[in-house]
Amino acid sequence: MIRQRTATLTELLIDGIQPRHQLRVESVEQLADLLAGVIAGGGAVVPVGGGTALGLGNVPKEVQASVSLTGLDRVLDYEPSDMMLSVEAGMTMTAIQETLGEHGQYLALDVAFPEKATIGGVIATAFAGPRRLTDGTLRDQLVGATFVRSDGAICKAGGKVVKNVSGFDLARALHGSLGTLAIIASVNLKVLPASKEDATLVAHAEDTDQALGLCRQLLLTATRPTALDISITDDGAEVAARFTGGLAGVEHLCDENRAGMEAAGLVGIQTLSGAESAQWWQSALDERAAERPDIVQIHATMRPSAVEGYLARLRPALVELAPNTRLTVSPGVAAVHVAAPMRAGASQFWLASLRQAVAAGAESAVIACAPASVKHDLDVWGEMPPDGLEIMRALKREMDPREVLNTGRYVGFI
Amino acid sequence: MDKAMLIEALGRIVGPAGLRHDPVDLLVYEYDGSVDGAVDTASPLAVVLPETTEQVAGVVRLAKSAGLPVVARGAGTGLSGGAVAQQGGIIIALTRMDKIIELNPLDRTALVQPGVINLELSDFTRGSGFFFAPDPSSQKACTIGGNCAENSGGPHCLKYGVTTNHILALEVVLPDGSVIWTHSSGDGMPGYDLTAAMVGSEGMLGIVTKALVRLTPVPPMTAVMMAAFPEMDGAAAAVTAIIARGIVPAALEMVDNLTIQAVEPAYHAGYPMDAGAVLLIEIDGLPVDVEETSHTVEQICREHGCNEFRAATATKERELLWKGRKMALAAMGRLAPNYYLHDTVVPRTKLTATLDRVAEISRDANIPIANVFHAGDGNLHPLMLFDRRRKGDVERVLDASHHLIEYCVGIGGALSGEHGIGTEKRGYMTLVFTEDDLAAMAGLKRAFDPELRFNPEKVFPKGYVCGEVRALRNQARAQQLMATHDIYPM
Repeated sequence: MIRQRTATLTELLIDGIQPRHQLRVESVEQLADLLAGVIAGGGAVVPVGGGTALGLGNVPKEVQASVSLTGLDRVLDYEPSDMMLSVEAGMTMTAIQETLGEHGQYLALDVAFPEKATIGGVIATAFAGPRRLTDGTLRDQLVGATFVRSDGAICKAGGKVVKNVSGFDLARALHGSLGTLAIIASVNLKVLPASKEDATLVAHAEDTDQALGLCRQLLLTATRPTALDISITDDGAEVAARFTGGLAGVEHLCDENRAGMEAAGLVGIQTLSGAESAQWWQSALDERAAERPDIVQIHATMRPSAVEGYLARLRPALVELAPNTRLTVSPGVAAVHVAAPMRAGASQFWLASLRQAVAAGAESAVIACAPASVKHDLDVWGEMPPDGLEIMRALKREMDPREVLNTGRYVGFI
Repeated sequence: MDKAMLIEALGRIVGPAGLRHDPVDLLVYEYDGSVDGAVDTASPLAVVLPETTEQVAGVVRLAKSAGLPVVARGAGTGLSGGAVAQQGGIIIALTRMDKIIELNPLDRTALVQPGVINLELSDFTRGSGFFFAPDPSSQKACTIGGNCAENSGGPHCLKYGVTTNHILALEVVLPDGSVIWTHSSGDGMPGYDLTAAMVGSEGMLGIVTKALVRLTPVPPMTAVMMAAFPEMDGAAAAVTAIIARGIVPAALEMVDNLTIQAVEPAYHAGYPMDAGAVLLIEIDGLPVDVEETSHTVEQICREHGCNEFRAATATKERELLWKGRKMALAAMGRLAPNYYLHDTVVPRTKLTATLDRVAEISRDANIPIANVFHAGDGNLHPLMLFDRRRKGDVERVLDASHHLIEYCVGIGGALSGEHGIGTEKRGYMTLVFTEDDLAAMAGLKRAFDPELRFNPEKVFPKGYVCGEVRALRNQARAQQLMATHDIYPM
């Protein structure tokens, strides 16, 4: 185990709190030894990957240590013909995609800041970019995991084959658990052949209704786009549809959908292809997910059929409460990302009101990023506890009886 | 509470039409689809067939106050003893909860009760352009609730994923009788992914009373190809080559010669009787892509020695080619009175070596083994053919099974790809999982079911959930040393 006192890590803050110790591990055994040695009830032990989503979670009471996992960055096993990749949790998404790219394969997921974001962090936060529409999330690709419990026990679940019903699916249950049950040390992932062609249509709509109408049309076809987003600002709405797959198929879909966009009355239609298409989506995702002290991010989810009604209610509510808010709507997966500029002198009350407005008509509204000063004491995961909270608490007690792993930062202050 | 009082109380909850307690009526509930001998039969005290979530919750609360085990059951097609009430108690059969409540084309979801039959859901949604992707062989009979419990697969999982990839949310009756909705982290919902925990938990955590399932659009075009090879090795190499070329077929199945001998005379699917193995390859998608990919697949098959290739795009012809695969198990009666079906999974690149090992095990044990399986994802289905009445057959089958499982696990495979552990394979869990691994799983069990009353005697090696760790440690050591050849040591 390495105790970091380097310049790069001295600035690490968890919601404004400096960990008493900043640690870094380079092997699963080190991680196990470290956890076996932490103090029960001595404050949270916060696992840290690339640090791109540290703002997600409730403000912890104390932080006894941060544990950087970026030293766990090895490929453990990769047999391209098995379409199975086994890697340590600290490997970055860029490193993973480069490894796979050499063999014409890729991991079906787009994330913000892939050069920093680690696979363990992406699983813990359940992050998924716009490709989620067709590719799903890592929940779908995760077939096995090795994880370390807070007592230092090294455990595994699942395996290295896609079809596996041997025992409970604890690996998938770790997806989105924010490191509160165990720290993921390595994962086995299903990978896919990379698409041969990648193209994006970007167009301007007169208003949100026009954009939503077009998207509805696109979503009702059997050949949905790979990703479909609407960016709504006070200046109007921009629709982007991405198509990936075989050469002939993508060309066909682009022609067909370009015509559909024109017929729907959208203007300024641009076609981006190849690297340009990929770059467009990456920039949009990075901009959206960047953690900034002057922007509050709230992530709302619902069912796709509820999006239109939801936005019709939300937009008027934001006029007074949060002017100049940017909404990124993924109508196919029914996710609405709200990026609201912080108001001068904004209070916790303001954030609570904003979240309440965003939550109205949604199934969930999670404050993904906000300054600690305004989110303090709020349960960022939702005003109301989710169904099954008692089971979740019991699971936490079973997996982390010493209550150290990211304690206090999860749903219901678990 | 004595039995008469219990029966009366159950009757008050589910009504006389929803209650079975006569010993004769209970006989069919002593079994599931697993092979007799590999799984012990057991009789419940009573079987209830509720029609509502409230009735399920009522029965569960009653069982809690009486301290009785509860076993949820769908169509009883399971192959690992998962629906057998090993400790007696109450079986809750969910087959009368069979309504499709809602279909939403924009959301691509359906809200269903657990007793809806898998194929009926696909048939119902096909008119709207959708199907439910998991398609286990038993799809004409098995239920969505059972699919959730077992995390069922099927031939089309290669492209579309298994049940867990198609379940978005579940209404669940917990062991204390309370009712919750679980959500999925894949939908960005906050909280632990209890849906992921539930799917594949073999009825040990909760009882599914409603499921919000993902529907998959019927692809614009589907082509099914049959490629016959003189030898199995060539077919297995073609499987690897197809995947290596970056093609993900909708399904990629292998049928060996022994299976062809059983199935072709009965169903006339058009598989050459002298073929060493036949591959069934299904490609779907946009017509332009399907045509190009089909051409590449034919080329790859020919490069690997394929001497007969046929492609079908019309529904009738496709169905005929599939018939040979789907009816394979039913046709086995032509070869032997009994079979024992395995479900191990191996990495695809180890397919050829594994098939060689299967042949060796067959020779050594003098038990014919037919192979008809999901080659694309390495999910083997070796069928050990035997005659229960012949002295020594059962023992030799069990012995061969042990060798097979040991081999597959040893090369990085899984005990079961889609049939579940149940009671059948619980004794093998320590071959794959350590004490710490199983302790973590037991923690999940206790979080849901601290009294351990839901589907006892399943998945975990005997005594493990309640902490007989010492016995387990010894057993693990014994198994690793291969000191025991008894297939069901417990």
